[in-house]
Amino acid sequence: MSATKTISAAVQSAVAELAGELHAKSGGEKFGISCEGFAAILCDVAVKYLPETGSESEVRVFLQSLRVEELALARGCANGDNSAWEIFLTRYREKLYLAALRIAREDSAARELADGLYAELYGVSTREGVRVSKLASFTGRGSLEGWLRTVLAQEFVNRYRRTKRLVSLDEEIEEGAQFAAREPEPSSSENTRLESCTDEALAALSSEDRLVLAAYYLDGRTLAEVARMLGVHESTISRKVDKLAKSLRKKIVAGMMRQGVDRRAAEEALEVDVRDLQVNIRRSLGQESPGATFLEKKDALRLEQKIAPRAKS
Amino acid sequence: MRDVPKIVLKRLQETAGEEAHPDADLLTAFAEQSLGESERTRVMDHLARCGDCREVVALALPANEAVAEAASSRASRGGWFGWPVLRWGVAIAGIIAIASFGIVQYRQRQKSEFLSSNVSARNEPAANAVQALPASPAPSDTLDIILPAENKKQPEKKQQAELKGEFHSSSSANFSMVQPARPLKRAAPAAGAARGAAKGGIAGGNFAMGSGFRAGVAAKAAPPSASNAPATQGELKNATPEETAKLVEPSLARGQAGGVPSSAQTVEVAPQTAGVPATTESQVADQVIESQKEQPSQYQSSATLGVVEAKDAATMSKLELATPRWSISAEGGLQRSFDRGKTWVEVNPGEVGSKAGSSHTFAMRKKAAVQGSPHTVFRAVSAAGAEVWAGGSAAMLYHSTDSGLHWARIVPVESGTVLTGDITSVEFSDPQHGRIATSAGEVWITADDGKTWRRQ
Repeated sequence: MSATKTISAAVQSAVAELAGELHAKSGGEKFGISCEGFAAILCDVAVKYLPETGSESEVRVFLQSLRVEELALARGCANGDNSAWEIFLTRYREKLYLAALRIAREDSAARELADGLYAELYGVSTREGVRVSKLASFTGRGSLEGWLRTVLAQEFVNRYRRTKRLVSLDEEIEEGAQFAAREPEPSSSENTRLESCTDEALAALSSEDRLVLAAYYLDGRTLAEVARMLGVHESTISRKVDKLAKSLRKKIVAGMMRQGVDRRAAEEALEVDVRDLQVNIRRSLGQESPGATFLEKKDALRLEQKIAPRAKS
Repeated sequence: MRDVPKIVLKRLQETAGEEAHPDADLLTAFAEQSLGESERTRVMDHLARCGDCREVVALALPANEAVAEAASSRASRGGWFGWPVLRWGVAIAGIIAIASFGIVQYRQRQKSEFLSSNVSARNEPAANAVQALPASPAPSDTLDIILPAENKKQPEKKQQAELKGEFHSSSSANFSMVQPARPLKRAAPAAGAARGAAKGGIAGGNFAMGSGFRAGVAAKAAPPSASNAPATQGELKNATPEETAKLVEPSLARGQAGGVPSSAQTVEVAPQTAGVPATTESQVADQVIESQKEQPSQYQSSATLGVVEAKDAATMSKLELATPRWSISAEGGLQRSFDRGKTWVEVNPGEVGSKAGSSHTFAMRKKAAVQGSPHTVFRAVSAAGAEVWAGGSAAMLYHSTDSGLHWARIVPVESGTVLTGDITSVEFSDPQHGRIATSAGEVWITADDGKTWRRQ
């Protein structure tokens, strides 16, 4: 694996210092990975995640946080080493299938998912005559088991979303939304003020708060699920959600009042907006955020405008 | 009231932009709490905007137990929640329990006009603790403590009810002791169990063992309980005979009914000092001993003392095994495991008290899934200790308070409107408050453990 970025001096010296120790710890030798080979891997990983301006001690801390045994195993498998592959199968075959089952919730879909990933891990596809295994991209930042689950989930989401998106894109084409010229935004200054105050209130939140909001309200996840995603206790999320629900409304009204709107009008604007938005929120929540992968933000906005007038009529 | 203005959700969604998604390694490291602060913030920033990546993170989470245990082990590892602090916390709570027990005895003795005012003065400071600790388990529970093999279900149910009642009026000291290792959704049972452990190794350990999973001592409480046990064992070993008797007696002397076996007298014989010593402790012991004669039980304490120390280790592993885990199978079956997830057995709430073989219900379920017959396909389960809620197709909602032995069908209804659709999620943040979502887009909540419901 060649690095496309330049390897900073800090990375080079940190790797030189730790390669031997980490290589020994990783047991890479028995998978046919030499110390030099392992050092190269470490360089690649460090360069991938660390800023070029990082100090040597930062690089050292980073390198020591890697799961080197699993990294060596994964790279060994990617190289086609038999003993590595044997160990991998013993340890992860069952878990992979069980994880697929949990994700796909249905036996045949789970098998398909798991088998599909196996093929990619094994390296069925080749590039320029060299077998390409997905395991070569494992960098040891998280556990291999967790990584396998994540990759499965990504595959599942891609397949499912792709199908769903295709449907919705087709719908949009029928409705002429794809090719219509961009309409001017609704002229209501109230709306714009409300939106900007809302944006302001949202921007003031921490990313964790916004994530909790999105996961709980947009995705409809349970408190327990959100807590697990963040690695905290459910009561923490429960408290956070309560706090956010209370404070957001206050902040938006306060923001609007600062802009000269009186309290009653501000509160009404919040309410009015709710009713109007009910239809298109439900619809846009039903589809996953279109702006994320396929459409650009402005297209998403255009869609919203398209939907809103239609809802009102 | 947890609603946010819809405009908020709208704007939140619209902030999504086209940007690179974190790779699988980053998402995994995020989920495993292995990222540094700045990287974590960046990933969360993206996740707040990207529903797909949120979905990936959620799907890739490991099974419930692993995560919850990691969370609770993190909690119990360092700082405030370290073992030494926990042990001392237990010791202090134990002493408070003993003192409060003494107060209870004192008050009872007052009624029988037995005490001098000296004792009352000395016991005053402990009065506060007494307020916090209400009636203890009934004697029949004590019987269960000694004879775990008998494992009566009725007393266990009572115990659970009592535990719940106890929890609600428990002192903050006890509550905070339990807090650190409190796993998700298990406040009540864990608090009750930890208090039980604090009252005395015997009462706590055997109590939990005798009632097993019924008392809802979660496996997650095992780490703190495990630390409780050695601490209490230490207490037992180091304590004077008097103190030992006191540790034992809380469960004994609180018994209101029961026969007067001569064996109970053996307790008093060992630690008893004939005279009336000046210390509070002795007086408490005396009170205890005296009241023993009034309200004895069949407790074989001397034998049990030795037994407790040996049993505590076994108790702990039994505790870990005892609490059932719940899951939904791929076919939509409700499954329960009593061995930490090694083996699973289908549970069918529709058949009262049924322990139908898994193959039987599996076949029925397959049939239901294919033919759409009324046999329920479960989609969500929420459990805390012995309380279980399970929901599935056709608005089927079942509730059990005894880990799935008996079920009640619950129909959420509000002014004539009934919940419709398949139940897709069930969550109970505490025993009283629950939230159900259905495939018809409905959200129903309860604040009284499912007696009444309100549609959100």
